[in-house]
Amino acid sequence: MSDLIGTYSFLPWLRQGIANNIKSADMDNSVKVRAAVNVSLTLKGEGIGAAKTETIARNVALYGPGDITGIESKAIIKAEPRNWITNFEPNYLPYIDFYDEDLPWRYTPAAPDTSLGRLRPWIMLAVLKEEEFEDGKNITNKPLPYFKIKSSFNASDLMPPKEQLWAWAHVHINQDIVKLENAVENTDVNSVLQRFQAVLNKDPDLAYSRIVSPRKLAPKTGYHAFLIPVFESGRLAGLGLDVPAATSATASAWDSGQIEFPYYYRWYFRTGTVGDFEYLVRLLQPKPVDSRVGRRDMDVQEPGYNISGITDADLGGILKLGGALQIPEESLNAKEKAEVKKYDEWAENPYPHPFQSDLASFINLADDYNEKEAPDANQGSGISNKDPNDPNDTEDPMITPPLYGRWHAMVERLLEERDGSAISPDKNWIHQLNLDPRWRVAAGFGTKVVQDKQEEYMDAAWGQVGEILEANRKIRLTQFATLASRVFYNKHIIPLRQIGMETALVFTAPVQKRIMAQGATVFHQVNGSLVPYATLSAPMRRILRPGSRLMRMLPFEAQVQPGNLIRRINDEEVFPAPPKKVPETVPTLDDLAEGLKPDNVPGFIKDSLSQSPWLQYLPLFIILLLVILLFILGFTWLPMSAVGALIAGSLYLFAYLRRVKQRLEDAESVLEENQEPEAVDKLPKSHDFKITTMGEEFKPTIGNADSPEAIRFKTALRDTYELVQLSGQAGVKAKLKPLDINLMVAATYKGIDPMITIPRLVLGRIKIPAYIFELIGETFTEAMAYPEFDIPMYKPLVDISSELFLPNINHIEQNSISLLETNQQFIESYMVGLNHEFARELLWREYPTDQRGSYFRQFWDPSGYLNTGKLDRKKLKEKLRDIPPLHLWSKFSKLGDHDHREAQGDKEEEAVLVIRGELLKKYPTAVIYAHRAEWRTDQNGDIDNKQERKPVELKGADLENPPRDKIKTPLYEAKVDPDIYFFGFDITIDAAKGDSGDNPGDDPGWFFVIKERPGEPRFGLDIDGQGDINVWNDLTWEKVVPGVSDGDFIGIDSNTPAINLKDPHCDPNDPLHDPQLVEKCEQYGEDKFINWNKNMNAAEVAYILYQVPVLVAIHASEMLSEK
Amino acid sequence: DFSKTWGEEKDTTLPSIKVMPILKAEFEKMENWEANIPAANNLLMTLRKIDTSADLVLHPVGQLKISQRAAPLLLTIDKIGSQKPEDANYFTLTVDGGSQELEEKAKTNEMFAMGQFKDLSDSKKLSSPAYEKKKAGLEISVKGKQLKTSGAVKRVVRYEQIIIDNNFKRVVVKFFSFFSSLFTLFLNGNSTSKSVLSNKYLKQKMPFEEKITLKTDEYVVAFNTDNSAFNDQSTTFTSYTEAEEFMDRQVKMNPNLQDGLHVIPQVEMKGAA
Repeated sequence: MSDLIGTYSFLPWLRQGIANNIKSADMDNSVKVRAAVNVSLTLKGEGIGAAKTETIARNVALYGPGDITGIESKAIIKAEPRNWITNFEPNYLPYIDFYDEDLPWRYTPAAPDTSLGRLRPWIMLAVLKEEEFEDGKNITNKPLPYFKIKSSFNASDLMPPKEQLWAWAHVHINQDIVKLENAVENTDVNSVLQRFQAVLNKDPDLAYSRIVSPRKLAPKTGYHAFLIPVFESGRLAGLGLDVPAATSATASAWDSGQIEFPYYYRWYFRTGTVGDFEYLVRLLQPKPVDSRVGRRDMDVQEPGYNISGITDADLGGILKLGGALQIPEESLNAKEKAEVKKYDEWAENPYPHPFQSDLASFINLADDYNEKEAPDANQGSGISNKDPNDPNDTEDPMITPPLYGRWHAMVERLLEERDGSAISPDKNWIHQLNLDPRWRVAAGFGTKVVQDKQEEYMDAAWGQVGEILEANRKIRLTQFATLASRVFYNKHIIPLRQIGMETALVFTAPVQKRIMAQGATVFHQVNGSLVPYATLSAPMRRILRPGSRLMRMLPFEAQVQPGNLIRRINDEEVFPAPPKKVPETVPTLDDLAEGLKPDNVPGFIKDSLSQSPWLQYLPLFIILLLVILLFILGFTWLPMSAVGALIAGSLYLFAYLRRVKQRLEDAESVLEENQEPEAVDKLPKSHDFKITTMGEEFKPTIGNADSPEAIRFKTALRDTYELVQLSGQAGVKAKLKPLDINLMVAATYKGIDPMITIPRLVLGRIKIPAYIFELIGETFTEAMAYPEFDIPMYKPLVDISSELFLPNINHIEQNSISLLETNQQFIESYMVGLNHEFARELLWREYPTDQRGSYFRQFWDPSGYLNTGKLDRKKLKEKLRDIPPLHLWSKFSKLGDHDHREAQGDKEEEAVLVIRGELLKKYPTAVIYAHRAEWRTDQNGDIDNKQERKPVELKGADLENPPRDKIKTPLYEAKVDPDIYFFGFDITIDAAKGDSGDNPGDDPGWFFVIKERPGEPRFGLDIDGQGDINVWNDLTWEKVVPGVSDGDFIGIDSNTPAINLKDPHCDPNDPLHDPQLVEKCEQYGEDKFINWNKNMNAAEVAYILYQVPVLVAIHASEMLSEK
Repeated sequence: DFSKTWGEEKDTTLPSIKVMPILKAEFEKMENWEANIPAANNLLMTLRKIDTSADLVLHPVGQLKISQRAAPLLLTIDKIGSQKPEDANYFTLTVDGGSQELEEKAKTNEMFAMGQFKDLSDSKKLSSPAYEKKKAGLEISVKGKQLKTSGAVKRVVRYEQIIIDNNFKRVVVKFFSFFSSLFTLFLNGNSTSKSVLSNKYLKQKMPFEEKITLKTDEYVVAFNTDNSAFNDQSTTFTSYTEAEEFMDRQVKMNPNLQDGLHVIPQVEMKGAA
């Protein structure tokens, strides 16, 4: 969740990039002209012999103030007070804001003092009275303009103390990046910077830098503010002088009696005595609008080109050209209404007016030329550019006026078809727009705006689509490559399959590593099959070539052909190599084992025993059986002697079989499969085992322990056996599977189909955003796009002239509040003009689009609209647009029917509140919105209308997302500099005023809230005030600069005495508790963490000098009733 | 069988060449050093003309870029032109951090003709692009965060609320805390957002977040059994030779991989979208 309360953060300085590496301190005179950083690189070479290294070191000088000869004015986003403000409060401090957060410190040729958190900026603000300076006259060879301090003054008296300039620049952030409970300062730089970076990533507009002037201004005095270089090198550069090599990099510009100072920027203001925010708000008075506002006479008598003029007697040869706003009908009197009606309906009777018919013919000429020769077409239309005095003049085709909206409406002609039949409907928006001069002119304004700004808009249009041209080129080339490859593929590769699958398999062998089949590459599948990969190799192909020596020599028959070799290998008809066999004469371990087996035992016994080792226990089983039988049948049925003989015989047999079995096992133990490490453990132990030489007669005795030699021998034997086993396992070849040749070939053919592979390769490298993809569909075609602009388009119109936006705008009275309504027809005409001209421009510049996009749909500025519906960005944007897409305008609709806001069902009564006043000159960004009022009640809960109403307090979820029945921000707004504001509110005057409160249930109405714009704080100190300082807002000039007089500077040096806040004793149980001070308690709780002392940094100075902004809530009944 | 040699015997191979001094000289050339301005930042300054031949002066905002075109870095080279390297065939460039608090931010690329540095077979020469992007130097900047400051101070925005109603009766509420939903909304209309530099204006001109972009070719070192990537580092090579270089190094370290790896375009990798 975001913070519930708006918060600013200040940073004392900010540096970016390599400048952070400057090590020399400020005022270090050994550093000349520019600061430098040392960079050292290591180059390492390896690969041949020992690694070698080289060091590359370089002292890199950095651009400093001495290299700057200008700052672009757009880098400056705001000067406070504004240029030519004449009532600035003298106790406030002028300042200037820069868009770039690090700009004031960017070129400072010194390292910051990190212990105090101070770094001098390289530019500063000099605020001078008119009598203190004169403008520099000789500006030849000077890159910057300059001023001269008059001889009766000393520069060092008029400029802030040079070593204290660190205090007067800071970074402003419109968000809490301190994030600490119980503290307002965070010295954990890493976490602060992390949050700062996050803020910048979210929206770079949330932070900017500021330079403040610490000079105490005199009341009622004119001042010029100059942005000048701090350092001498900067001063010299600005004056176009060379910077001597001996100049200390950090020498100040007014160190030694300099009098000429170049400046990057200047503005003028005067201080006044009255003019605080509330005063200016109170000046505003409701006034009816002058009836001239919003209409202007337009001469329509002689259009030229043989077109008949509008010369109807009652119109007086004019039509009334409107603007984006007009006076609501209800505020006009009967006479005015009749006048308006007369001019609005100039073409009603009869329709079309002769002027319109002629104009339509003229416009239609463009289409006529498609089928007729120019003279015929001109003749037919009755429009002529023929020189009446020249009989030989042949008629050339004429340049015809545009048919606005022709692509969007898909219309080529007006009023008449080519064959002369009437077009129906003939009074829809396209006819109105094109045949009524009032709307044609508005569309013409749109054309003009696009023509004026074509470079900027085209640049943005190209920027929106990114690398579309290159992408389209790639797509075209890919289409070509695909089709060309397809032919090759079809003609040469596909037929191979008909010759034989094996041929196809061999042919495609080089790509098989890249083709997948059944989860593995074809190469891998072949490798694991009965077909050796070598059969697909180039040498094999060479050998099998039909004309080759081998092929000619070998006999082939019907079933045995070179072409089916692979299949036959696969079917195991042919073996690449015969299966391995043990040569007969080679002695093997099997022979040895066989030889070791006892000879005197019948073969069947040996075989039975090796196959069924349990046989040796058979005699024991017989004895057991015998014993059981004896028990069951009695001891009598067989003579005991026979029993005894049987048992003895069986026992003997058992002993015999065991012995044979043992001998067999001993013999088989030499077999490879029995040479296991475990077998060694079974060997008998011998205490006198030793390894003897061949022929030596020695037989180790079997005992309980092994001799050391035996232990070593067994270890060795165990290892050997392990090796035998492992190598046996490693030597086992996996069973080779037959290859599914058809499947492999099918997979390979699919994998190399150019219709798949080429688009896949190319499209994988082209990223097309979803919205463009929707336009072009899924096919593999060139991309096209409609650029879109969310710029409120009233602004460029105002930039041409505010008279075009609203004719007779200067008749809106000073310090007045009045009501107008939107002129939808004008706005629509203007927007069509914009879109039409931009479509032409896109065509001209070969932008990949058709001409039917609606590029501009925003007329008003809706940025003040509060997104209560929690719409996502795209939906919100769509909701706030002023017109629906042009190509969706119905052919039966009229001009003025395309209010996008109404189309969405918001049938809002859109009164446009017009405010013109001094307030907006001084606070041009003041915020205005409506806040629901509520009655105060007495003890009985009844309305107490003797007390002032109060704005409804927002609680809980409403704070996060204020509902529209409590807070209404403007639906849209517009500003005409310097001092006129237009707000569209969905609120009627009566509803806003509310009821009297005499009856229960009366509507409390609405407050209009006017307040200083967030993000634009002001800085200063109080003039008077003898009381205690409980919060920093109480701090006065006198306290900070004892004995202050006008022109003095706030100073912070090592002698600055500390100023501490006085505890307002907020605990109600505190004996010193003062209810008067309760309102300061919350603020004191934060202010107490900051002190005015000699060790402050710029952020703390900003905190203390910050002035609480003003919010004036004025009830509509006060604001909209005439006083 | 017979063997006969005729003509004069002449050693036509060029003497081998020391590459380190060449690279060192390149890196010391002033024109190979430049300072880049961060993309989002607008310079907005008029700069005085500087005699760049006399002194190396860099813009304090942004990054330092050092690059050369003599020989590619991070690539085993077989030759330079037609001469064999004598001292080393694989080069790396690093920045000494330490007290300077500098660090490498990125590697710079230049176009190199691979035939000049690699022994390529004729068919390989024909099938590979004439020039390829190769690492050629460094972009360096300050370690860690690009931004530096010391500490921050916050100021909660409280308004002095003045209520005017019933015949201009006036009530003042000092230090009225203003809720942030509207605070944030109204920030929208402040002077900053009206600036032509502002993000807001930029968004109005370019409302779409995404654009058509072209990616450079990317190669993958993959197993030739199933085209799955060899490892995570092996999926984004910007050139074929670079991928090959990586593959060769892997094979050198683990000879079992011989014949088990190959270089393929990224789209062919298993699991590639």
